[in-house]
Amino acid sequence: MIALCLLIVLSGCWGSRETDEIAYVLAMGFDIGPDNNFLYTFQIANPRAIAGVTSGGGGGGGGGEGDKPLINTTIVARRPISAFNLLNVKYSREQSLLHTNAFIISEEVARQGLGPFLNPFERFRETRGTAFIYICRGKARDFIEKSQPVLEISPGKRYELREITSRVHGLTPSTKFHEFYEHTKSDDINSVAPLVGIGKVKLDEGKKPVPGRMGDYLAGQIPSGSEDSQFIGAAVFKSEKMVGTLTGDEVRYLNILRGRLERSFILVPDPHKKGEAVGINVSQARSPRIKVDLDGDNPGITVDVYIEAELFGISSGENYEAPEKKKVMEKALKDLIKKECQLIVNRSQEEFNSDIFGFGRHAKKKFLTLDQWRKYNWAEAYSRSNVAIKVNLTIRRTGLMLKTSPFRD
Amino acid sequence: MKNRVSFGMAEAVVLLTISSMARIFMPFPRTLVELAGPAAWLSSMAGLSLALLQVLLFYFLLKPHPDKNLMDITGRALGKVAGAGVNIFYAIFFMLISAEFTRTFSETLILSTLPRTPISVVMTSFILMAVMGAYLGLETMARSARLTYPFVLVGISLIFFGLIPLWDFTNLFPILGTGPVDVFIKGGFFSSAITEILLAAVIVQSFKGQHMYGKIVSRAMIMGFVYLILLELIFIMTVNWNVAQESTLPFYQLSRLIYLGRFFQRVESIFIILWGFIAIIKIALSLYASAYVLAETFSLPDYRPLIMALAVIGYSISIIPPDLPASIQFDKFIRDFAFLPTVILPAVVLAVDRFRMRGA
Repeated sequence: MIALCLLIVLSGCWGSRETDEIAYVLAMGFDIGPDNNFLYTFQIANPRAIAGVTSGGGGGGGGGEGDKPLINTTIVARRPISAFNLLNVKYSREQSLLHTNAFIISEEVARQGLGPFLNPFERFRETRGTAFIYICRGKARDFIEKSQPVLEISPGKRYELREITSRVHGLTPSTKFHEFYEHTKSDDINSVAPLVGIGKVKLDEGKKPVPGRMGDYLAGQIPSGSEDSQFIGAAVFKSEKMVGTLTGDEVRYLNILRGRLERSFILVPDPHKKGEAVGINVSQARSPRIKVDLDGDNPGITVDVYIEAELFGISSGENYEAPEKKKVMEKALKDLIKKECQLIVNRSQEEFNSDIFGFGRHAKKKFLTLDQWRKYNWAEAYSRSNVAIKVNLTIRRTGLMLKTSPFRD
Repeated sequence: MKNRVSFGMAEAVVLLTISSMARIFMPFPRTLVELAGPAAWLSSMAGLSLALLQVLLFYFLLKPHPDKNLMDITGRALGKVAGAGVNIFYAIFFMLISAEFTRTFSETLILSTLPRTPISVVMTSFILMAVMGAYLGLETMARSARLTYPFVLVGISLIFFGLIPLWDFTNLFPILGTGPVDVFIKGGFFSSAITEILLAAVIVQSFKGQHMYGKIVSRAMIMGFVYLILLELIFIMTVNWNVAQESTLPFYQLSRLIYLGRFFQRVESIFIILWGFIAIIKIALSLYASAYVLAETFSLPDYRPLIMALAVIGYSISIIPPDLPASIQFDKFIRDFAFLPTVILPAVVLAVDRFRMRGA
């Protein structure tokens, strides 16, 4: 009887909020603001427009803010939670961060350090560890305003789909808030976050792609006919501060070394015909095997990566499907992957001084207690470690062609 | 007061398991991580060994007295006055446990799901449900625990294994964490402070034979500790010990991290249901034990008239800590102090009892 009475009396009387009383923030942007403040941009889902209710009285195209599926608003404040509180002053509905699935942070803010922003979000019950982190080249506010979802009806779906797409091209890392936060506080791995930006380079300008370096862009650098949103490359962090960037191609090799590559397309210079290229889709057969030797003065790290490849396109007409030529192609691809992996490791040691691959996670297995591990000071030792990379690669499939015949003259 | 209720081994094991696993839903697992670092799971294993030794202590205490419970043996060994004093001390201990769990569970429920509900409302709801459970008695609690256990098991497994994509085994290193002394000695004793072994000695006459005590309680301890060990392992593998020690509610945090594609996420609601059920069983059982010990001590015909009075006292104690950190400190204080009623006093009673038996 008591239970039944409680069911009636306590049916969410204090905590209940009807869905039509709440506005959901889908993304938050962070920019440097005036007088040591920050600009916080909130992208709010507009239920009227999503449900198809417009103010035009049936004619459509009313053009008011109320007809857009997403409403963007920017607030100047010192800290994100105070901006969030101010947001409630602007709209009739109570604002909620329960469905926020993207934090877009400008590069400028990231280089200053994200500590003051990460702690409140880790603590606040409405924000979720499964939200995605993006670092924006340029103003986050501009990015949020200019990048409107084109293919999705549900605006909240967009950032989740971006994450799924990144597994197809492998040119951005996928970083969720909880992982990012954890890595900023770890002494055995450092964080990376995907780069985003608005395309500003015209089609006939900018860097031209060459075989082996098809994704050698940072977000915003891909030649484009319009101001489109671009998700490519990564920001590198040391603790909670951004210390550098990686291009899309470099991220592919970062993903390989971290065991995170699902699929990626590489254009390899043709070993037999100069100027031609072979298109290959690569995927990771298994996680890399990493061994760390701490016996010498400098740590020795050996990384065995395991790659499977599938031929996609052979523009030269060479018959790389044949076993003896397949070996040549495999060697060319192996050499390319090894060289690029080595280059990015060197950058992480010399330029960033940041273990973004998590080699430290394997180094700490050599220690029995946390005190011993801390005394070793991996952050310092990493930059002088010798990293040897071995690529194990097999071209498993040749697509729907088993032989390439030459074209007749 | 003659105890007329009895239930089977499965019910008894599940009831004690559910009661002992209540702590995994509280801030307890993070305190263990703070103490032992990435080796918190090893501390739980050391805690299991110590808990089994504790079971052995009670087994030796109960064995020569087949038709008696802890209160009878204490009264017999220490005499009427001292025995009653120790038994009242046990009753107070159980009431404090009930008060402490009421407060901590209410605080954590407010933190996670009911941020706008006044704590008095949440606590009153918990205590009223617990009063109802204690009033209906041990058999009802045991049978509802048995009935609900498969759902608890499925819910916990879902939360544990839904995190497989986030597991990183390297997070478990350095294997000895903050050092062997912290991990095995401090962590072992901290995690072995468990009241269900004492509680089982109170309700031993419901076990269809005293010889079942060892079997039932050791199984319940193994099951309860397996949950704790698994939670610590998964917590550290998923979150890394450095961030794990920051978390107020490890289990809740883990449930919020499950993301198996767009269609399988936000499963913490499962956790809240499990949490509520286990909290009520834990509080009700402690309240029942407190009333039952008092009724036995004063040879009252029924324990039920005491329940409401004890619930009101427990409620009043539970609102004394001014905030959540203070209530967690209260929990830590009870755990540190639990060694007295769960190990030292029974050991004294055992020694005196054996001495008297030899003298006789």
